[in-house]
Amino acid sequence: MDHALRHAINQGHTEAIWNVILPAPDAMASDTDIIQAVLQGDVDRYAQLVDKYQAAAFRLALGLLGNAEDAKDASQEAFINAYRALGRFRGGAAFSTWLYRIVVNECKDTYRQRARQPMAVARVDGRGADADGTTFFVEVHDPAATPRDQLANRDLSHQLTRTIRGLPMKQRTAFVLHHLDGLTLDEVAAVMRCRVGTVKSHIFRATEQLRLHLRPWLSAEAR
Amino acid sequence: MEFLTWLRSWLMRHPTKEPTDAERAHYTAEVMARVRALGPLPGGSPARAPVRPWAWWPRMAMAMATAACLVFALTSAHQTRRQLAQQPPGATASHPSATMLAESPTSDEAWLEQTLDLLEQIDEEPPSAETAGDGSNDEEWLDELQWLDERELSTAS
Repeated sequence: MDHALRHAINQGHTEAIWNVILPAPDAMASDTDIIQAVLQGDVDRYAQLVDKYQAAAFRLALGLLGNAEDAKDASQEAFINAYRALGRFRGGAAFSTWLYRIVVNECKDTYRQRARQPMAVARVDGRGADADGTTFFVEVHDPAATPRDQLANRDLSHQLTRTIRGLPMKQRTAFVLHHLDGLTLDEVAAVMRCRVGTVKSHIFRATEQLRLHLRPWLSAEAR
Repeated sequence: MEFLTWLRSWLMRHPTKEPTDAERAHYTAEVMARVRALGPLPGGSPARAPVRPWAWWPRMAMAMATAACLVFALTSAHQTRRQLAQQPPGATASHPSATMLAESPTSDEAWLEQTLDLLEQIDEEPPSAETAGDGSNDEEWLDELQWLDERELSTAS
């Protein structure tokens, strides 16, 4: 991650983050221009939207589902559904907000399906996944860190992932959109179709849960 | 250290996972293969204009109308409950027939008084216990008939 991205995340400006992470293939073409072209029959232009928003969609799905394969499937399905419904996109909100909403709905469906199914195959990934297939949200592999720090980071990433995965879906969605994806409270409210006060409440409750479960790591770092 | 500050700083040092460049290209290719299989969207109409939100005054009018309906419904319900609470237990005077039944003795007295008044006005005495059923009126009536018959016979002859 380069300095510009760190700065953008630190400042919390969503647009700046998008501009750094996801530079548009055609900088002059707005989302509306691309959508109009696709609706007029230029299907290949849709790839620009997929390129532009796939990282964000994947990250959101990973935050909500906690599994990389499910996140990829759900976010790809969201792009397909968005394409099917593109004619109904009215432009009242940003395309990203509209897409996020579709991703969230797709993740809910996936989550319900997974809840009904037993855990299929336990997978072990030495770097980025837990024994039951839960994928860590963050990159824990850091060659510069000492072995002890690497172990601590891995433990913290494990606990963070587990805690977020254990949150109720609404709290999880609000927390991931705001704190991991960097959306403003208004944007989160638009995605979740609820009031900003409700979003704040969800985020507050989620933060309290995280504070409770991550307290040992915070204490250790404070020492 | 404040918890959220600490968490944010930790996430800054350990960013959330993203697909690599190779994964991104593969990801896009998979999505586009399915999109092309679906073909162009039916209709092919351009994206519609952004939805214009309502002005402030229709929103306010709708809100006030809703509030008025709510207040009216609540007030009506409250009044009905209060009226029911004020009645003695078992009383059903709110029903018209029940009112008539409850007031029937009083109505009968009034009806009797009115009837007596009317009889008095037309100079007709109500039947009394002294004259009723003793046969004296019948005798007078028979005498009168007999007198009429004799008169008719005398006239005819």
